[in-house]
This record gives sequence, structure tokens and C-alpha cells, in this order.
Amino acid sequence: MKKEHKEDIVSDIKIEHNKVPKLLVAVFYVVAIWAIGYAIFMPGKLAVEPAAAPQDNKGEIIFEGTCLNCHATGAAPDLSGVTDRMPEEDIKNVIKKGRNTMPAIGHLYTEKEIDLVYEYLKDYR
Amino acid sequence: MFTDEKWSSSKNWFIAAVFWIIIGMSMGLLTATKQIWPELLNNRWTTYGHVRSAHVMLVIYAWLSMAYVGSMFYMIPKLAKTKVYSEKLGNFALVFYNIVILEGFFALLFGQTEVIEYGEFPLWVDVQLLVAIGLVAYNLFKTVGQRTEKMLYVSLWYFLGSLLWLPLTWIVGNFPAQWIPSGVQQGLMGWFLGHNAIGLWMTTVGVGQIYYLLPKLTGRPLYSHQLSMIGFWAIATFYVWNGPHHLMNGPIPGWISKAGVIPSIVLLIPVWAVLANFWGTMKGSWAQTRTSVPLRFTMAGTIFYLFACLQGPLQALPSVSSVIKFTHWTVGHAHMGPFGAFSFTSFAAIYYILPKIVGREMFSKRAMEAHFWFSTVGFLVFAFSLWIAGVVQGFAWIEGVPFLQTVLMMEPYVQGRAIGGTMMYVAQFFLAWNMYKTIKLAKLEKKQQAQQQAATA
Repeated sequence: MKKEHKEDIVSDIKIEHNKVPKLLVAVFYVVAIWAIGYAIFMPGKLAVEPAAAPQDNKGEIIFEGTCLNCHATGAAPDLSGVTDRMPEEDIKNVIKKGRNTMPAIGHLYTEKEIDLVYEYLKDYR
Repeated sequence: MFTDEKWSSSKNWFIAAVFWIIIGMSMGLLTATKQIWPELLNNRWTTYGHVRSAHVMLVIYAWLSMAYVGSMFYMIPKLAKTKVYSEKLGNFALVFYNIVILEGFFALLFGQTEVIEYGEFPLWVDVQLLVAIGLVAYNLFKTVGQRTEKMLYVSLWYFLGSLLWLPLTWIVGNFPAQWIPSGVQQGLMGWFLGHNAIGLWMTTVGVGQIYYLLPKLTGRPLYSHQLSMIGFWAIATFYVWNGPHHLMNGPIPGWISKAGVIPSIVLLIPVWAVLANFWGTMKGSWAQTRTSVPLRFTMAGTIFYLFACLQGPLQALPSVSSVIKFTHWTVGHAHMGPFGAFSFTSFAAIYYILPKIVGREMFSKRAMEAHFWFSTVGFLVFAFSLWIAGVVQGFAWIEGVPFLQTVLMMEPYVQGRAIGGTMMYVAQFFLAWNMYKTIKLAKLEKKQQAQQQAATA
């Protein structure tokens, strides 16, 4: 390689062979070392705490988000105290398979979620 | 049917480009205005979503890409010391490319979109655009193939590289969604195009332009061959990796995330190497920027390039990204490269090349000055409004300020952005008018000359 200040001419454009500035070489090394360090030691993402505590009010969320769309608007009967009027099995069956105008919504939820809704209904008065 | 006239491809691509910058930026201004008056032109075709994506696609693939192709149709044969392989094919590709862009434009207004940033055109347009790009690349590669200069100047490396990389990124990014297994993979492939349209097309052709313009405009030798090598190979190696930083803190594996962050920071190497080369070349010539508008556009472009590439790598870091992601900041940053840096170098290229093609100086120097100052001041107002807005917005979201309140907080900044944007828009009319006058007068003068020759003969 030509090291001196010789000039090449390519397409009528002169090209010098100046050395890479020292500051730039230093930057190259710093960036390279940082890159290796980052690759080895960093997670590559922001450490995020799990969003609040695990949800313990899932029954309430499902009840308010789904059931109340009808059962609070007058489109369907009020459900307060429903656990006193009907046995557990029947209530869960209505949720799963529907009754009269109420659609079946069993396929949308797991068995456990339906249990949680029932637990919530016990205190819904 | 298509003219064979020398340099006609270059000239015609430039004219089309300037036509599209006006259309594309009106879409942008409409987008900005809709943030102030949401009801404005709120019909089925020009909803916010349609207009915004049309703006993005037009300024990049219509204005900037056509200006790039225009300058390559001049610079490549000049550097190869030959003529364009086929001016006819160049002009045909231009007509075809413009039809495709029109199709894409109307497809977006009718609501057809792929929802991929920088790749919004629907698939049937994508395929045609690929053919158009292919025609241009074929023509320019053939031109280099018949060169009489043995050595390839730096600009040629960048141009030829970009002409190969653009089709590659275009294919990956526009891959039919139903053939990709999952949403995360779709996101990553989409952002491969999203970032590389910037990195391996806009940046690399723009840098090639500067490498050509600087020695020509200043008459000084290029500072360092070694720096050119470092800059080129480092950008070719590291830029392709940058896509994942757009999905930072998203549902992507940690290692992909890191594979996006690290090359983003490593980009400081090619960017600073290239800039050191430019500014080394400029040593002792800065005073010329006072009189030469093309040189001033070029140097302002390099400065905006530096700032875009200081912001960019930092934005890739997970911590910074968590504040500014989805805010107005990103929009300010996204305009700095394509407008501040590479539209500026394209303006310089037009001002340098057009007079050489038509054989006459630009009609008005004052219009060039107005073009520069309106563009620069307008962009600064525009960008600083958005950057301040983004930081305020980002921290307000973290604090948990109610969302609607954060929207209302943005009012003054959104207005500032529209004012800056209007200035940027107005500036382009000086360019269009100046170009029109120059070409028209040049034709007139040629006619008169011919008449005089006929009279004296």
C-alpha cells in the first residue's frame, strides 16, 4: 500500500492517501470494545417488572366486561343474589350452553375462569 | 418514441422528481394540517391514514429515488468515462416507473396498503416497481460495463451497491404476508425493508452523490482513500442489521434485539469515517459555501447526516427507546435523513448537473438562495417542534398523565411543526420554478443560436 502523500487520479478526481485521524481510530476502538461488552453482559431489552400483581379479580373482570353488557342494561334479568336462587351446576351450565336469548359463551373461557365468575357471583348482591 | 438525446434520461428523471416532491410534500403538509384541524378533507379517500402513507411513499420512492436515479444517469457515465448504455431505455424506465408510482399513489388513497413502513404499496404495485428498478439497474450496470476508466471511483461503489441492495430489501420487506409464519417474523422482515430503504438506498446513494460533488465543487482532492474503504465496507456490513431496533422492547427474542442494537451503535464507525473524509476534503474551502449554493446544500446535508446518525444509534438503546418510541420525536428524526441530509444533497446534485446538461446557468441565484434558506430554517422549526414534543410526550406517558391530556399538551408543537413544514413546502416551489425557467430559456437560446448560424451561413 502507498503510505506517502501520493495522489491517485480516478475519473479525473484526485484522491489523497491521508492517514485516518487518531481521534477516529480511538473512537473505533471504544465502539468495538463497547459492542463486545454489550453483547456479553447486557440483556438487550429493558428489564420490566411484571405488570402489577397476578390478577386475582379475573372473575370480576369477565363479569363486568361480558355479563353486564346485558345483565345491567335491562336486556336480561338482574343477577344480584342469583346463587341463592339457582344451584351451582345450573348457573355454570347456563354460562356454557346459554338459555333462551342468552348465547352460549362456554367456548370463550376455561373451566377455571367460569369457576372464578361463579365465585364472584356469590358475593354479587 | 423515446428520445436518444444525450443526458435526456438524467434531465427527465430530475424533472419528474421535482414534480413529485411538490405532490409528495402537499400530502405531508395535509397530514400535518389534519393534526390541527382533523375535519379537513375528511372524506373516504383522504383520511389521515391514507394521506400519511401516501406522503411517505411519494417523497421516498417518487421524489428522492427519482432524483437519485437522475443523478446516477449523469454521474455514473461521467465517472466511467463513457455514455449511458441506453438513453432510450432510461426514458422508457422513467415513464414506466412513473406509471407504477401513480398506481401506488391511487392504491393508497383507495385504502389498499400492506401496512409496512416504507413498503406500503400493495403487492401488485410492488412487483411492477421491482421491474422498474431492475430496468434502471440493468441500464446503469451496462454503462459501467462499457467503461473506459479502469478504476472505480468511490461513488461508483456506493451507486452499484445500492442498485443491488434496493431490490434485495424490497423483496424481503414486501414478501407476501401469508407466506410468513408469524406476526413477529412479519414485523422483522418489514423492518428489514423499513431500515434498509434508508440505510442501503437513501444513505448510500446520497453519500455517493457527496463523494462526487465535493471534489467537483471545491476543486480539491478527496482527503483519504483509506477512509472511503472503511466507510463503504463498514456500512455494507453493519447497516443490514438495524431493522430489529424498530421493535425494541417488543416481543422479539433478546438476542435479535442485541443483534439490532449493537450494529446500530457500530454505525458510528462508517458515519464518522465518511464525514471525516468529507470534512478533510473541505479543509480550507468552507468560505466557498458563502457563494456556492450547491456546495452549501451539500455541507448542510453532511451536518444533518451527522446529527441524524448521532440520534439514530442512541435511539436504538432500550432505555432511550422506552421514552421516545411512538412519540413525535421519531417523526422529527425520520425527516432528518431523507430531507435534511439527502434531499439536500439531491438539490445540490440538481443545481450542479442541470446547468451542465442544458448548457446554461441556473436561471436565478436568488431563487436558489431562497430555496436553501426556506428549506433549512423550515426544517429546523419543524424538527425542533417535534423533538421537544416527543420528549414531553414520552415522559408524560411514563408519568401516567391521562392520554387525552397528553394530546392537548402537544397543541403548540404540532402547530410549530406545521409552520416549519409550510416553509419546507414553499421552498420547493423556488426549485421547481427555477428549473422550469432554466430549461425553457436554454431551449430558447439554443433556437436563437441556430437561427443566427443559419442567418450568417
